[in-house]
Order: sequence, then structure tokens, then C-alpha cells
Amino acid sequence: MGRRFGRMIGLLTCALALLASTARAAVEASVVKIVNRQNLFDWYSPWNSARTAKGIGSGFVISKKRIMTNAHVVSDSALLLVFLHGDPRPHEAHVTAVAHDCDLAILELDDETLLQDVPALEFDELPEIRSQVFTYGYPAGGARLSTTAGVVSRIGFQTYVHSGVDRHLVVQTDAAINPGNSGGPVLQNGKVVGVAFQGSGELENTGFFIPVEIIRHFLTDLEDGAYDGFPETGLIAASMENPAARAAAGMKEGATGVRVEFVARKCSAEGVLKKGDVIAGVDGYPVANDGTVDWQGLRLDHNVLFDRFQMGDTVDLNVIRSGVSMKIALPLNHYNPSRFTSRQYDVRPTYFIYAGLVFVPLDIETLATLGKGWLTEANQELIYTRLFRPLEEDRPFDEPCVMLLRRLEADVNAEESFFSYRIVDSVNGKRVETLKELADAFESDTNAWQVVRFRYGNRVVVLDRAKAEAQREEILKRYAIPKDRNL
Amino acid sequence: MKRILSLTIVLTATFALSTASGRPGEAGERRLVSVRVAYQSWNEYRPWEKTAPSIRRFPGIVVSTNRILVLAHNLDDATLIQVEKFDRPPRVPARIVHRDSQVDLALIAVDDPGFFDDLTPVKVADSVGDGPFLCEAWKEGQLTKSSCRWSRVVVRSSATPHFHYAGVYFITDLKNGGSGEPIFSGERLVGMVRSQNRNRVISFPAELIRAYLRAAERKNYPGFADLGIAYQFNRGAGQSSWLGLSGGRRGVLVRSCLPGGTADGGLKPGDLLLELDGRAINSRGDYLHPRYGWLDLNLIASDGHYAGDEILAKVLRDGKERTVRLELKNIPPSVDLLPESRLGNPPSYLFAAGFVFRELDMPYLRSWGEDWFERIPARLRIYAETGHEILPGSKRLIILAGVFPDPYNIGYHDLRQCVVRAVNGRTVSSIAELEEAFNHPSGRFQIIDFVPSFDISHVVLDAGGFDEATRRIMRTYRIPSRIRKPRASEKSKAPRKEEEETPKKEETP
Repeated sequence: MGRRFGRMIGLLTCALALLASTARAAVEASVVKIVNRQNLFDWYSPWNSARTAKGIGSGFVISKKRIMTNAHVVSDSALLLVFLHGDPRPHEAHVTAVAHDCDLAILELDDETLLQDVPALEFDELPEIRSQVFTYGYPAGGARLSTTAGVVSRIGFQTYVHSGVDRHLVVQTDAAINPGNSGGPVLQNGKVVGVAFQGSGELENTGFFIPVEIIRHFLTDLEDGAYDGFPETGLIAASMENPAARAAAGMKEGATGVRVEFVARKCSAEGVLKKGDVIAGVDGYPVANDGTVDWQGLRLDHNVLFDRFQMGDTVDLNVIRSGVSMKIALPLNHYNPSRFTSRQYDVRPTYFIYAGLVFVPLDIETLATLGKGWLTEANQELIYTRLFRPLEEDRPFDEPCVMLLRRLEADVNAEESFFSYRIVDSVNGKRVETLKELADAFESDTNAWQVVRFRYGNRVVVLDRAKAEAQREEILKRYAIPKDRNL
Repeated sequence: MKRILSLTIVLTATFALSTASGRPGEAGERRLVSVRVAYQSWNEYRPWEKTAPSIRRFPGIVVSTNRILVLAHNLDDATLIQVEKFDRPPRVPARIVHRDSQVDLALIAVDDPGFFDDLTPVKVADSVGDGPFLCEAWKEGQLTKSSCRWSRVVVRSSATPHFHYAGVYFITDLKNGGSGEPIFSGERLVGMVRSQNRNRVISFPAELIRAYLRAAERKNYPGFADLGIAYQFNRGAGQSSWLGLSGGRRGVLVRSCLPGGTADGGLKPGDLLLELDGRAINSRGDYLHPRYGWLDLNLIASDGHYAGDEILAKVLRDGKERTVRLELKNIPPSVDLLPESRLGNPPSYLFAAGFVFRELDMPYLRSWGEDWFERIPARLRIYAETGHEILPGSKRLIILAGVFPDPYNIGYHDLRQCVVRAVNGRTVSSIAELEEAFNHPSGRFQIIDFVPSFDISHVVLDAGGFDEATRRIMRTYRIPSRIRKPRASEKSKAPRKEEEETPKKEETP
């Protein structure tokens, strides 16, 4: 089926070449350049801005008001300027919706009249493998629009690097996609088939774009005015290619599916599916033993199907439980643990300073203060707590915890024991998980000492309360910290 | 000899030439031999095989008639040990008489009659004392002497846990040392070079060499003890007053005690350790050593003591001072969740239906190479660094090293580095327990549960074909033996027979 389509498109390209010139003018007018003057936060000195930076990307007009681009093009923005095609004037813009989990965003110009005459691009469907596509954008920040052509090389399910944790449908093309192309449209027959968004360090001549499937999900999600994001099933499933595994699960000859290995706490599947259940079908699509489904003529990871649903929807599953086939309706809830598991954008770092000790939540951004090699550089109890403890000790992935980040040396703390990048367990005997609880524990007590205990290794830090209180203002002043907290 | 010494001093003073060569017939030539060891280490992934053999050359110090002192780690995985006098042929075979991997000292002997006739044992000094210090080493048939300048003493933890020694730092012009070169003050042996980094060598002190030699002469080698505590300083006024200490900051706060170690049972987490063996501990955990200044308190367990001795500790517990009696104990590497060393033993493993299981230890992780810590899987890195802190009470972790593919184990061919939690519902913490667990299939299935991960964590195999698959896969991949269990007791230091089992031969039609 796919192959036949490919050949047909090959024939059609000659015919389309005639139409292309008229279509192109419209397309070019709809592609914009976006300059993002960023204000980046400093997660190690969380009361400071780290630096200002300039980012350049592309976008395209999808209605009389709205411009679509990538979330990473507009993240951490202090000022957004949009340049319309052939118009040298910068126009101020603002973000009206952003989806960090699928790297998409909507911009609107402060002056709403400017887009009235700009043609809006229309969306198409998922392009065929080997069909030709064109990218439009402003790679390397050039002043003029750039176009590249290529074919659809592969359609897969992979990680979106902007959040670092979300996996969705992705289309790979050999059309050059470079920095600056981000957010620009990928077109076929004059219609949008995707948004260019990331490249690959490993592969040459490959760019990736977000297909219409994901874009539509984003736009549909926004219809109620708020972005909720993709639902989290919370399932970890294993392939069942070994016949003994299928027999043990009570599957009949010829039955296929994947076995549930783990159900993450608070996610949609908690209480609905159980460890050992076999997912034989999702939304009517049979799941093969290697976890793939046949979807639009493609063999893709079955998780691609869950992406077609919104939070609050219910997805029908065929499940084999203890050898019995059953239909189970899986309601997809609104739980989203990304605050602690993915990169953070447009978020002001939170912190609490007491006696010159800087406490922060343990998340991917605070871990990343250790530099690129944080995964190996960090005290490994932090990696365990953030990535593996939810699995090993069956706890929610977004269970908050507080760590001691650093010390601003002062008389009250300089000689005391000190442990950086260690998880706080309790303050004055009160267990603390959030900065607010930490601040309360410090401030609600009246003992002579503030006793901070850490979760691992029996570590303890004791501070003299009277000294800490007496030196509070002086420490903040000396280290030029405007506020002792952002909880 | 005196002439040489003064000559060296003059030369060092003028910085003209830093290394004086020994003249033939000097006493030095008769106390230092060359040892050559052919060795072959185990393949950590295919634990039934050995890796490519190689050769080590290092000095041996004649300490008595028919006893040569060497660094113990140089003998690791030895397949042939030979000794050479005057750094020239003939080489004669030698054998290990005694070794202590924790201290990293060993004694070898030569059975060739008359070998020691033209050798003279060294005299070991009581302490390192005063210089000038000279380090001796053989270089292409000539004895070289390199000057050493005293730098400082640092208490170091041994490469094979758990032991602490006083490392004496010298600045030297010795080149490529670090494999047991002797350091002399006059005619007396005062140290033995443990490692070298550029122009700095770290040496064992005379005290430790003496103590080791004396212990090795005993009928029952007592071994050396270690304290086995983790502690934090007590420098802060806040922490000190909170603990109820008066009269100035001192002592260290005990955080934890290694199970089975000297402190275990005697000291408690939360104790402020004030005195040990009659020596006051300062707020940084140091005590005043009579000869070497302020040293880390961990040295007290081995300096002047053997395992089995008793010492007293004074602690502040719940605001009250009390004295605790501690029996000094040797702490083997096996107390750690991931032992740093197998003390010369081969890796234990079980080969089951193409699955290679083994006990997780540091030699396995180190086989990833120099930058092993960066390269190992994240989960193993956590266990390697945190050990019992995150998994209290666990004895040993069993890991699936890899799978040898066969139609029987299809679907599992890419599994590797998975930590086993249970087999057929039985938790396993040794190869013996693992083998036993496979003898009790769950009905028609063999079921392996791994610690949950982001991938497969529950392996199901057909119990009926299990043994047959094991035999077939062993034949396909030429695996000579199915299992190697670790030796029963870690205490006995006598050589042992490895317990290996080869598969029963099947009848061919």
C-alpha cells in the first residue's frame, strides 16, 4: 500500500512543479522570524538572573491572530520580537500557549491588526515515507527566508529533547534542519505536515519535525483555553517474545500483547491495571509481542496510540488478566509529574536561605547546576531519589524533596558541619519535603538550636538559632541577595 | 657505603646530579632482588575464562634467610613467580609464603638451595626517623640510589578495604617507582614505596613493615584491625553545644559503624568520640601521634595493635561521658555491598539457560575501564557509590551480566546489567542461593524478577526445557563449567580448591 503511494507521488511531482510557484508566494508570506531576548535563571544562585541571551527561530501563521512555533523558541523570554516576511520592522509578541511536553507554542502579536492580511497555512496529514517535503525558516538567523527540500526518511516514536523526557511521534527527513529553522513549517503540496524542531548529533543529514498528529493534539487541548498536556498512563510494559512468558500469562496460542511490569503511582493506570496484566490491544489496535502496533501502515510503539487521547478521555484496552480476556476502560487523568522529571522553562527557581545555607528542591534543573555530567557527578543518592526510588520503593515520581545546595559563608555556619547536594530529611524533628515545610520547621520552633538531619548517612547540621537570626540581614546584604526566599 | 652516602648528599646539595649509581659489590645489591610475575586475571564478563596473560617486574626486599618482602598486589593472579639476584639471570622459581592483601604486604620464598648464600637480609628500623633517605631500585643490572626528601605523613585507606596506614610522603628523584622499592636511612630499612605520582612517592612506614613481619612469623597470623566508622567533624559551636559538650570543641560525631567491625556494638551513631586508646581526638578527627604529628584517628586501630587487642574509647553519649571497651577486629572487604576485592578469588557465577549471573563486586565494575564510573549503567553507579546507605541489610547483589542467545531464551537476548531481586519467589543474595532457587521452579516456569527498571523486569522461562537448554547453550558457546561458588569462609587465608562443576556428558545416539 505504502509503496504504491510512493510511486504515484513520484509521478505527481512533475505536475506539482507548475503549481508550486503560486503556492510558494503564499507560503513565504506566512513564515515569520522570531527573535527571543531571553532572561535565563541561575539555578545555583537562584535569586539571580544568570544571563541574557538571544535566540532566533521561525514560526508560521495559522490564523488571523495566531503564530505557531516551538516551545523552545519562546522559552525563558523577556522580550519576543516577530519579523513578518519582507517587513524589516520588529513587532512585539507574547506567548498565549506553550506546551513544553511536545515543544509547541502559540504566539500572538501585540498589534492584532498586523496578521489580518497574512494568509494562514493549513494543516495536512502525516506524509508518506519517501514523499518530498519542504522546510521554511530562518536557519542561523539569516535575514532572508531559507527553503530546503528533502524526503520523509522515517516515522518513529522518540524523545523530544526540549523536555528531555517526553516521547512522541516524530518524522525524520533529510531536508536540512538547522538552528533557526526551529518552529518553521514543513510543507507538502502547500500544506503544513509538521513543525521543524530538532536535529540529531549522531546522524548526518537528518532533521526531525513534529507531525500534524501532535500539533492537532496541542490545538485540541487548547480549545478550552488551557493547556493540560499529554496524559501519563504510568505504565512500563515488557515485550513478550518468549513463548513461556505468554504461557505464564495465560495467553492462548496466537494471542499477543505486552505485559505490565510497573504501574507508576498516581498515574492514570494506577488502580486500573495491575502488574502482570497483558495489554493485548489499545483503542482497537492489536499490540504485537514486541509492543508495536500497525498504525496507518506503520509499525510503531503502542504508546503512540495513547498520544491520540486528551487528559480526561477514556481509552479502551483489551487486557488479558490471569488468562481471562477482558475489556478495560482506562480513564486518563490529569496527573503530570513533569515538574520534577523534566527540564523547566519559564519558571523562577525556588529557594530558601537560612543562616547562609541555601536550600532548593531536588529536580532536574537543580541537579543540572553540577554541569553537563550531573548524572555521574552528583551524589548518587540524588539520582536514586529522583530517577529510581519511585521504581524501587514504589513512590510517586513527583514526590518532592529538599536538598542543601550551598553555603554562603558566615560566622554562624563557617565552622559547622556542611553537606552540599544532600537531601534534607527533617528540621527540628519535623519531616520536610517542600521548601515551605522547611521554612515552617525553621521558623515555628523556638529551641536554641536548629537541627537539620539528612536522609542518608546520618548526617546532621546544627545551627545556633540566636546567631542565625542576628546575622540574617547581614548575610543577605553581604551576598547581595534581595530576598531570603522564593517558596 | 658511608662514602656513597656523603657523596649523594653533596650531589643533592649542588643539584648537579640527583641519582648516584651503586657500585658493584655494594651491600645494597645483596638485599634487593628482582621479582618477575606472569599473571592472568579473570574475565569478569565470562567468568570461566581468563584474560590475556601479562608480566610484572618489581623489587623484592630480603628480610631474612629465605624470606623476600614484596607488595602483595604485585602477586595478584600470578601464574608463575620467579626471582632474580643482581638483576641478571638465572631466574629461579619462588612461592608465596604469606600475604595480606589489605596491608598489601607479602612474603615469598625460594626453595633453590644456596640461593640466599650471597644475600644479606635488611634490618628494619623502629620508625622512619631522620634522613638522609635513599631509595634503591634495580635498573638494567645496576643498583640505583635516589634521594628522598621527607614531606609529610597522611593516614590513607588501603586499596583493599578495610585498613588504614600512615603513608609517608617523600619528594624524590626516583623514576617509575611505586612497586615496593625500599627506602633506607643509613643501613636501616625505613620504608617501602607504595605508589608514585611524578616526583612524590608514598611509602609504608618502618613501623608497619616491622609489625607485619612479626605477625607473619606467628603461628596464627592475627591480622590488622580497622575501626569501621563514618564520622563528621565537631568544629562548630552550634553542633558542640547541642551535643552537650563543655570545655572547647573536640571529638568527632559517629554517624555509622560497619557491621562486624571494631566499633560495631561498642560505639553508636550519635556518639561524640572523645578519646581512643588513651589519645584525645580533636574536632577534625585527628590525634597527636608521638612521632608524626596530627594524624587521622583511623590509624589508632592498626598502629601498635593487631586484631584481637582491646582498646578503650571515651564517648559523650546522651550528654554523659562514658568509657567503652572495644575489641579490635579485622574487617574483610566482603562486609561491603559491593566488595572492592575478592582477595585473589575468581568471580563466582552461575550459567543458567544462557543467562550469566554473578555476584556484583567492584572488580566487575572496574572492568569497564579507567573511566568505569562514568560508563557503567546509572543503577549500578548508585549501588557502587552508596552501597548499604540505600540498601541497608542487603548482603550481596546478584547481577545478570548478559545472555547467550538461543531460541529457548528468545525475547531476552538483549538483557544485561539487570539486578536480580528474586528467582521463583525466593530472594537471592549468593550464587548458591540462586542455584537453589532454580531447583524450585514456579510450576511449569522458571521466573526471574529484577529490581524494577524502565524496561523488562520479569523473566519467564519454560522449566521443562531449562536444564537441556543450559547444556545445549554451554556446548554452542564452549562454556566449560556451569557454576563457580565462592569459598565458604572468608576468614581462612589458606589456598583453597575452587568448586567448579562441569556438565554431565550426554549420550550421543
